Amino acid sequence: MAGIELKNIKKSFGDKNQVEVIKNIDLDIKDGEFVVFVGPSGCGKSTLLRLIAGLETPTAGQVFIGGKDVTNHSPLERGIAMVFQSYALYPHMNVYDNMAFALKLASRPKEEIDVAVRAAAKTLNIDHLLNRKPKELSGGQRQRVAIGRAIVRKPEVFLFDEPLSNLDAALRVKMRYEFARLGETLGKTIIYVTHDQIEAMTLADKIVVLNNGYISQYGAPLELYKRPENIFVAGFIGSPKMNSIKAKVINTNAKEAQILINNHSEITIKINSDLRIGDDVTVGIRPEHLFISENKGLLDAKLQFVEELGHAKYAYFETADDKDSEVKITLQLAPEFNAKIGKNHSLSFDLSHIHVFNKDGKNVTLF
Amino acid sequence: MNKSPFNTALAGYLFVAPAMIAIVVFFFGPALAAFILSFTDFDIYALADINNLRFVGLKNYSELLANPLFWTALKNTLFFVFVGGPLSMAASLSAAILLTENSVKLKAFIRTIFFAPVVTTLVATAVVFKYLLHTKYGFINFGLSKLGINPIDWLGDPHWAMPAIIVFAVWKNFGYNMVIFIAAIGSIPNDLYEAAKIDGASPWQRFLNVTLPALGPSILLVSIMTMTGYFQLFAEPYVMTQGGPAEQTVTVLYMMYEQGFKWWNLGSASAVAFVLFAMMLVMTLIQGQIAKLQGVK
Repeated sequence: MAGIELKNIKKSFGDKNQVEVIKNIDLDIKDGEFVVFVGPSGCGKSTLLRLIAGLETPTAGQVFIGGKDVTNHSPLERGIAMVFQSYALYPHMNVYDNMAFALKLASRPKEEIDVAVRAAAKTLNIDHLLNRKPKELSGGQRQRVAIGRAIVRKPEVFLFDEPLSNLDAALRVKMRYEFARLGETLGKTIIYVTHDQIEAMTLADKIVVLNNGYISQYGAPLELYKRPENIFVAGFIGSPKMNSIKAKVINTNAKEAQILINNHSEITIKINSDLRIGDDVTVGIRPEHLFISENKGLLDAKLQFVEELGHAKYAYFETADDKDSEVKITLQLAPEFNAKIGKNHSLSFDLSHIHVFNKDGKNVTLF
Repeated sequence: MNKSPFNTALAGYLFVAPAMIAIVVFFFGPALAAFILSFTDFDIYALADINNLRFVGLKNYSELLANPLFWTALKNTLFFVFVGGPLSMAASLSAAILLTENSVKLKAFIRTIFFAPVVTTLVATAVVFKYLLHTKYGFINFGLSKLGINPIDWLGDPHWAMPAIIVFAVWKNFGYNMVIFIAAIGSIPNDLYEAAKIDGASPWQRFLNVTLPALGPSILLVSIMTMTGYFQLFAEPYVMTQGGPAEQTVTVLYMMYEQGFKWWNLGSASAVAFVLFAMMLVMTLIQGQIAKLQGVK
């Protein structure tokens, strides 16, 4: 059993701790969960992983693994294994020795090491590469060796730091699938850091979205997609990202609010938090929930560009908000729809999929 | 414009010509002349009248090998190379590791202090060391006397003269290789150390399994440079001991100097130089071979 619990974790860098990278994080990861840390560059996701690994010491707070306070324990004592973005294979050792290294250091019997290494190599289809040096391997093979090195130790927790970011697109898709399979086979707690939201959405049982040293939201992938708690998560999860349109509250009561979009259309939505008349809000709507209306829609916008992806077609529109600032809107078109670039279209959206964010960026929509 | 292969090649040759001419005139030419000299009895008489020059075949080499002083000089040189060389490298590596540790403060200052002897004039530092090692007034014997140890005649005792020169040479030279090692250690990815930490490696095991293998090419470079440099030991005994006591600090190069510029036997001196060159070449090839066997490139 090795769930992970972080309590009030803070981490600062610099001589006087002036650069605060992790700002008071609480997190509870259940045993056997596949959790992905996702966020933009510099959000603190790798630092958080390193704090769990024991490669960094928190400035404040505690780390628990399997219910035990390991805040001041070495990486070895934490029962974790980690796969690095660069793979960090020992260049002078062959694949076998790389995988066997930790067990050799632990003075395990030769036979036991041999069995563990060969079993892991077989699982990862690298048993024919055991005598090769890392420089004689392709990126994908190195990746497998790095995973193999983690597996042989039979840790309770696996930590992966952007393990696919050095691979080409095709190999990344293949390895993503293998990671998903590996997660199921191992049945251990896995923390996986990435900046790629597709990896996060496809692999995770739960996603931690980090922004600027805080957890923006923690939940299942679809929950984050369908019910983002704030405008950051709404914009970060989903590709193309959710459209944001500035709007104003024109009428409200405890349960509903009437909102004016673009000085143009009024919509009414159910809310879970107070809004006041005159409040600036942001209306969020995903590209797949927008459509071109034959009649008068909620917005008028000019088609600028169409992106053909084969399986999908995205149209990029431009309009102006109530302050005459430029607003870009993305819409998923039906594959057979022939749009004319430069033409004005009337756009409508499915009100049941709308999100309204208050001026602090919090989602106030009642789902 | 005509760009025939000949013209392209000519342009290339013209570009390298100044450097090549300098190398031929100031290195290959004199080296070849010295090699030819080693088969002659070129001496002070030949300097006065070239007609006194005679071709003597391998006589200089056979006389050299029959000269007991050559074997003493060779023994002293090898002692210096095989004791001083590794000692110097160990000091360089230790200093480099110390100066790449995160916990060490004032790194730039310590690095400057360690490197300073390299850029200080050898003769000046040798004179300072002569005083430090002085039997009666030297600071080292003063320190030893505080520990209850009798004064040692560092440069006058046949047993201590060469070790004293080794200590001086190590102090003088280790800073140079230290800089090479610092650069090499700095290029080792930090991920490797972290991976080793997670694998459970202690600091010593991390040094053995990450630092040392990664330093292989630098160690080869430094060992060849140190060895070739140490084979040419001359200035230290020349300034500090003049080859004494009891010829215990006469080195092969010192012997060459005496043959050539004290006794004006330039033919014999050339033979000494080429014997030294042959030894250094063989040693370098052996080192290269050892490195190859260990997979260092």
